[in-house]
Amino acid sequence: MMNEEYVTLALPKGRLLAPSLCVLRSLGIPSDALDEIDRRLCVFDRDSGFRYLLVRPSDVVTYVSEGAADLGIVGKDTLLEKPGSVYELYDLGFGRCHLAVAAEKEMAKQHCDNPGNLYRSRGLPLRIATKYPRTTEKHFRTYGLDTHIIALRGSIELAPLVGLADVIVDLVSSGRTLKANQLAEVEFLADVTARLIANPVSLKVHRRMGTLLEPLRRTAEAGKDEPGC
Amino acid sequence: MLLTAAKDFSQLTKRRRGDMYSNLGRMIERTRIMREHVSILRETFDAWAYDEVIVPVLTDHELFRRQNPLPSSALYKMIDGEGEVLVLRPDMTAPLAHMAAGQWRDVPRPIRLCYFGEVYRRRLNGRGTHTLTQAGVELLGAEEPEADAELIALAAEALCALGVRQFQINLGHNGLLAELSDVLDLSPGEDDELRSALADRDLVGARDVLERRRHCGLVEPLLRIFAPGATADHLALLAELGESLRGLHRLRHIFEAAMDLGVHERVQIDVSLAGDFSYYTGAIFEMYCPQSGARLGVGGRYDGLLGSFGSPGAATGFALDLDMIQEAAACHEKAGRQKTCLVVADGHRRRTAYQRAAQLRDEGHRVAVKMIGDGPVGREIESWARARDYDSVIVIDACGCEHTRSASTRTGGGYDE
Repeated sequence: MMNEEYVTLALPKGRLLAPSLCVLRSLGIPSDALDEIDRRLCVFDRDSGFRYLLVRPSDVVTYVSEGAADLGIVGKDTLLEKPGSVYELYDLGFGRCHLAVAAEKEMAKQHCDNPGNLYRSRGLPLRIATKYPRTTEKHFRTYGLDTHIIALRGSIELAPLVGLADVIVDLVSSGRTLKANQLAEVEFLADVTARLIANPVSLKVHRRMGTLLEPLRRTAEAGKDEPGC
Repeated sequence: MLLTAAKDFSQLTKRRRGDMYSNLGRMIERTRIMREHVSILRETFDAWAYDEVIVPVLTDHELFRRQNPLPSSALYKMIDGEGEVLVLRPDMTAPLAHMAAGQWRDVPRPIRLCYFGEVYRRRLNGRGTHTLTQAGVELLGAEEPEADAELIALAAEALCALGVRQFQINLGHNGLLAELSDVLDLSPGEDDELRSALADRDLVGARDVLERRRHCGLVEPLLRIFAPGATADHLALLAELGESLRGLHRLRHIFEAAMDLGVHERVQIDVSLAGDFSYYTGAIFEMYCPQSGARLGVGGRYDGLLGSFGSPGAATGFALDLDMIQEAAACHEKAGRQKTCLVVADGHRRRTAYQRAAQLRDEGHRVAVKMIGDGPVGREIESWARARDYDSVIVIDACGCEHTRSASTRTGGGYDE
């Protein structure tokens, strides 16, 4: 239930958590309560009136859209899968990586200048393994190809190696994982950074929301998208 | 075509029975609430000087071909004896606009009308049909922003009267985004980008597009009205900056009138609102329940529609979706409603039973009578009555004496003598 007094923040567990806490601090939100993280998933900070929920990154949007949290921090990749259910307020600038199509190294080299040819050379339907079925479907629609999207939860890089898929769509940051699995990037899809999202109703009715977001608004206005630590 | 319509129609009745009226008690309850809602709305609309009209169920197909609010495949079409194509009304606005532009051409404006009834549309993406029970109003021949504000206030009053406590009215303007993209000099690609960002509530994407255009002064005020919670001050600030934004000025005037009407607390500016129907030409508004996201109704200005029927004129209106409202309305509690009683008697006391029933009806109760054979009335009559949703049972015994038994499992208990 949405709480009038408390502001509830849904934070992603994993690699985005540390920089998220950093941003919270820069907003003047004390996240000390979260520093000694044990196994608790819900942390109250009674002094400041904040409540933190630690959830799976892919569930942050759901917590916020359903009103269980007022605000959330989540990667743009997850938002692309669920457009329109929450307000995407600010680009927080950290967690930078990108979504890309990748294929076997040799194949990628052969068709490095024209990904369309690579997709067509594989015979139809083109099998694509990904964690992001919606984004993938939308992207490949522009090619007008017959595609078969294989939705996986993790270890996407494995799919082309064992013949489960022809290509994959996944997040790439350093490219090391691709390299280690004899894969190479074929096509760029979208830039991904962490975003601050808000529940539409909270944004309108929660009394603390305006003052809370003011520092971010000023940072954005000044043209800096990355509030420092 | 006729066959398809007939087949869909039988599906429609089946679906309604299946989906909404899966049991008799629910069907009766829904009907009762629907009738109650219509009578409340009739009073509300009447108090604002709107006169009720009945819109013909079968209308000329031509009406929906000229300025097509819905794709042709969404219409139920049939052919009459003379080979004319008729449609089951998919919407009440177009037939009324047609009459306003034709038969009522010389009636002094403004005309205030209201209507109640069902509209029929085929579901386009899925299978099956779509019957909406609507209650709506049309205000014909009034072009001032106060007319739009009047409808917003009337819609708010109607929803309150129906017991919908939590609702929100989103107000937008059909031409606003086009004007914005003119003022900001957006390319068609950027225009698409901005529209889809707003539809996805992606303010980061919207900011990207705006910043590319280097209208620095406009970016923040624009983003402020793109986000929820925008107020008249935000609109005023933006209106000063963008003098050529006519839609925005209009919205501001409507919002100010809504403030005078005391409904602005319910109103939220939503620039991405575009309306389902292509005939909207100005302000558009949608009423919805913020918790469930259910859309309770939609309205807007359609100044072009009368013109397309040969007599140009301003017009605005709204329609409420009574099925959705019934789900949202918090008037399901039965505490205050009249009691339903069962009068039970054996054959010898039939006259007494009928007299008692008539007396109870006079007192405002709902009464059914059941005759049973000779012999005493047992306990089982209570469970019999409970299964049929009676609140109380009045047993008239062989001596003509009356015993009241509560049958109700509902709150409020049995019938008090």
